[in-house]
Amino acid sequence: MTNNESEGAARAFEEAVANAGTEHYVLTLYITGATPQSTQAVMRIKEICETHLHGRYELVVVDIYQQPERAKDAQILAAPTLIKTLPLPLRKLIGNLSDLQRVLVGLGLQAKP
Amino acid sequence: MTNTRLDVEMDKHPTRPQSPVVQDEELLARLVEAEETLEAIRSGSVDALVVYSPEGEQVYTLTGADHTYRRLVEAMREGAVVLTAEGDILYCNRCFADMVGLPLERVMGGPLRQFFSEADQADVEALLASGLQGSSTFGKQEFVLRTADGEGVPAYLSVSALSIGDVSTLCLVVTDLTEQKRAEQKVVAGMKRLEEEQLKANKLESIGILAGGLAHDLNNSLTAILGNISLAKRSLRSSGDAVTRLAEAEMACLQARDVTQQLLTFSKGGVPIKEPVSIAQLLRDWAGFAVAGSNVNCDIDLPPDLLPVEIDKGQMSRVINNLVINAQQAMPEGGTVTIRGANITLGPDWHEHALPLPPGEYVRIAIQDTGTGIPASHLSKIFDPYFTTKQKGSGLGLSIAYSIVKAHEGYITAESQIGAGTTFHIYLPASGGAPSAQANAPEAAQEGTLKVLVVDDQESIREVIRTILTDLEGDEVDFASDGQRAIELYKAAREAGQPYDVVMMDLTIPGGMGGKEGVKRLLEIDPNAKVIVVSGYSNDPIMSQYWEYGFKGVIRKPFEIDELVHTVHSVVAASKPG
Repeated sequence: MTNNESEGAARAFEEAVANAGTEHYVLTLYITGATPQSTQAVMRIKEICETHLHGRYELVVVDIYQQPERAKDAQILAAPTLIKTLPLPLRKLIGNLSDLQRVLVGLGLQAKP
Repeated sequence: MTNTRLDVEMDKHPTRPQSPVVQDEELLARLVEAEETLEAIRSGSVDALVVYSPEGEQVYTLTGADHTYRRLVEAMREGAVVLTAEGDILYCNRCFADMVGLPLERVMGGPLRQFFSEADQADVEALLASGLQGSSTFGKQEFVLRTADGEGVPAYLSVSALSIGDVSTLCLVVTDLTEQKRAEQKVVAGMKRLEEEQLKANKLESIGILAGGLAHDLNNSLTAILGNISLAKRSLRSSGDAVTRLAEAEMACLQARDVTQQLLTFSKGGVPIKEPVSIAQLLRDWAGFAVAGSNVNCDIDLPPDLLPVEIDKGQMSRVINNLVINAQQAMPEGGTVTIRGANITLGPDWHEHALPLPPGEYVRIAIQDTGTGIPASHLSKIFDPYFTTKQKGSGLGLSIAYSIVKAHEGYITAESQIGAGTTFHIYLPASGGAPSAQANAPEAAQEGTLKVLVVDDQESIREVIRTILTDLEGDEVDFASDGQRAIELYKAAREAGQPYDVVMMDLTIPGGMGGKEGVKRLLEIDPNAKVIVVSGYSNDPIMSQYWEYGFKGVIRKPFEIDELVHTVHSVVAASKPG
C-alpha cells in the first residue's frame, strides 16, 4: 500500500468513526441456547450496545437450535457469532465477545490499535 | 483451510468492479475474520460448531457446554423423564425420583407403568401413544402416581415425542399437584364452612322471627292476664287463700314475661346502645365476676394494643357471662377458662376465614375451656333456642349471645373436640365511632287525675288499662282501636278545649296505623303532645330508643299496675314547666 493509499484508508476510517456517532446498527447474535459462551456473549453485546449505541441499534438474538435455517443462511460456523449487517461493511465476530477492544473495532466504533 | 474458507466467503459476495486497493482491504478483513474465528475456537470462547453437510446442518456442542441444561433439568420443580417408546425409563431427574419416593437408580431403567394403578394403565398407555404420534390434543392428563410409601401423588403428565439420533423416545414432564389440590380442598372446605354458617344464620333468623311474633302475642295475652289478676287481687282487699293463689298466678305471669323477654332478646337482640370502649378491662371484670367463688380459674391474655370496639356494655357483659358460665359448667371438676383477644383483619378473600362478615378490622375474643367438649352433631345446633343438654339450662343463653353479637354486626362461632374442650370465637368490628347519647327517663310522677287516650286494638288490654286508670286512679280514659281514630279524637278534644294530657299508643296495630306513624302525626298536630309507646315487642328498636321517635315514655307489655300508673303520671309531670 502506498503512502497516498494508506492516508486515504485512514481518512475513510475516520469518516466512518465520525459517522458511527449517528448511524443505525443492525446486529444479529447467533447462539446455542443458554450455554456458557452464548450466555456471556448475550450479556456482553447488550452491555456494549447500551453503552455505545444507545437508542440506535437493533439486536436480534437467534438460537441456532431453534432456528437452524437462519444459521444456515448466515453461514454460521461457530456459536456464538455476532453479525453486523448495518452499517456496511458486513462484519462477523466469533466468540464470547469478551475482548471489548476487538468488538469495538469490529463494530467500527474504535480505530484499530 | 484458511484459503478455502476465504474462497467460499468471496464467492458469496456479488461480483462488482473493485479497485485493487478495495479488493486488498476486503481480503485483509476476511483474513482477519478467519483468523479470529480460528482463535475463538482455539481459545474456547465458542461452545458449538456448525457443520453443513448434504444431509443438513449439524450443531456440535463442545464438551461442557450442555452443563447448563443438565443443571436446569435437575433443578426443575417438575419431574422430567425420558422414556423408550415401550415406556421404559431411560432417564429421570431427581425431582421425579423424589416424587415417587425411590432412589434414582431404582427408577431409571424400570418401567413407567409401575407408578400407576391397574385402573390407570390403559390411560397411561394411550397418553404415551398419543405422545409418540405427536398428537397435540391428547398429550396431557392428570393421574395419581403410586409412590414407594403407598401414598398417592396427584400429578399432571405432559408427554411429547423426542428423537435422540435415530431412536424415537418420549419426553415426559410430571407436575406434582399436591399443593394445588390442597389449596383447592381448602377453598372447598372454606365454601362449605361459609355455607354452613350462612345456613345457621338463616335458620336462626327464621326461628327469631317466629320467637319474636310468639313472644309479642304472648305478651299481649299476659298483659290482660296479669292486669286482671292484679286487679282481682286488689279488689279482694284481704289476705285469704284466694289472694295467695292470685299472687302466685301473678308471679307465674311475671316469670312468663321473663321468658318472652328472653325470646325477644334472641329474636332481635335488642338494638344495642353502643359506645366505643376498650374491652380488655371489661373482659377481666366480667369474666372475674362470672367465675368468682367457683372451682374454675380464669386465664386472660389480652394484647395491650387490642383495638377499641363499639358495644352495648350491658348486652356484651351478658354474652361473656353466658359463655364463661357455660365454660365453667363444662368443667365440673374445675379447670381453667382461657380468654384471649387479638386484632385481626378480614380480607375480601372469604376462603381464608369462611365468616359471613364484610372485610375490615375486627377484635376477636376467644373463650376456651378444657371441658368435655361438644359432639359434632350438637355443635351445629348450640345456638338454636331451646337446644340444651343441661338439666337446668333454659336453652336460650347461647341463642341470646348469638343474637346480641349479630346485632353488634359481629359474629360468633364455636369449635369443639370431645375430651379436649370448646372454644367460642367472638368477632366484633373494631371501632372508630363516637359515643351515643341516651335520654334520661322521667322520674317524678304527676299528682291528680289525668285525661288519657289509650290506643290498642285488643279489647282485653283496653279493659285492663281502663280499670287501672279509671277505677284505681280516677283518670278519665278514652279509647281508640288504631292510630287514625286516635288522631280524630285528639283533634276533637283540642278543638273542644279539653285536650288529652297523655296518649298511650300500641306500637303495632294489625291492619291499622301503629305507634310509629301515629306519634309523628300527633306531633304535627301538637308539637307538645305527650305520647307513650306501649308494646309486647319489648326489644323493638323503637322501644329502646323511643325518644328518637318523639315518644316521651315507654311501657313494655305485660306491665304491672304500678309500672303503668307511674309511667303515665311521670311523663305528664316531666313535661310540665317548673
